[in-house]
Amino acid sequence: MSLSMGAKYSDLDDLRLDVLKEVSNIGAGNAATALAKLIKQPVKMTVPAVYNLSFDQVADIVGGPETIVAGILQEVSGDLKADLLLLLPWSQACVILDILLGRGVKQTFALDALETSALEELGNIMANSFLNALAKFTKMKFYPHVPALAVDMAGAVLSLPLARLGEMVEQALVIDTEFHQQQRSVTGYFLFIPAPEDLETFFQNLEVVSR
Amino acid sequence: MKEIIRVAMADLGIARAPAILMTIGLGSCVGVTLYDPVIKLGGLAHIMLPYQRMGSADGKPGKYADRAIAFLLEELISRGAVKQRLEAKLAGGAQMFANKGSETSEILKVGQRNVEAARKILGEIGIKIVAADTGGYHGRTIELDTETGALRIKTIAHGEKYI
Repeated sequence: MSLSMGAKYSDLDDLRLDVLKEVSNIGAGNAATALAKLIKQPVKMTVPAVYNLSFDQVADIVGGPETIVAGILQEVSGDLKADLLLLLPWSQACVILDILLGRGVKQTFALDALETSALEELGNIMANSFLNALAKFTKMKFYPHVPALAVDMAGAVLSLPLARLGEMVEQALVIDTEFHQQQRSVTGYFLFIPAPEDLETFFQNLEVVSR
Repeated sequence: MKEIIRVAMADLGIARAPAILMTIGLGSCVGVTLYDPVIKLGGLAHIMLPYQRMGSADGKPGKYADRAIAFLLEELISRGAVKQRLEAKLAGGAQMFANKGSETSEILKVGQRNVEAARKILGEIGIKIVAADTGGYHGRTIELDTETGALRIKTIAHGEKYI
């Protein structure tokens, strides 16, 4: 059965969910290494969690729709269309910018051009590392687009990737990996949101590769 | 303390005075409120997408503008509202991310399309839009006071206002 015609993600069996978790783990591991190199500090990551959530629940991953976050969104095309979204709660984004730029953030809930490009670059490096590992493992091709940043309530930031899913599915399949930097106590949420219409082919191709 | 009813993304809610209907973090989604000032009855929908087409996935009744507005209207009338008295207000429909030459930039305009659809549908069924705060590049939290019909709009960096 194809997932494209309003089917639910519950059609994904445990094996496929495990596969998604595994490929995300490989991708996120590479992203964590890239992040550690960039900030020159060790980074820990959680085991990726696969969530099948109502659209409203997705923001709960970062503490609810009113949580103010910096979100760096990167659209992916290729063998599996997807969105990669790095969400940093505002206070965490400020600490990361302090690490990256060596200075405090100047305004409240707004970033200047330098701060914006620093965070976009961070999202870009993590997304590319994630996709490189994924490509190597699956023998597939993924093309990241230009990253874009928004600082706002999590509900508002998530509305775009969720609208992309909304036409096709009733719930959102989100793979969440959390990164943690202990010394400065920073946590970031890295969301992998695959396009539902491509998942069936993705799994089929993977099964061919693994055979 | 007035009762506050929170409406989730893709959902809708109906309430009588003195309750407050609110929804958090409208981005590209558009919030549509309908209010009957005579009986102080209001409805709010947190709409994600313009139209439910053939093959579009189902979901909560507030997900698509066409279904959400029809559903709100029916529910309000069944509770004593009169269509000619209803006042609509719109908020949201922002573009949250800048367009940087993405191939599927169409989706970036989903906020604008949501607002256009809501306006068109309300026009077609003959409900007047008395106020709107739409577009831009920022999120909005809205609260409809069913006592007065005032719609409070809160943002994180663009102030707060009533429409």
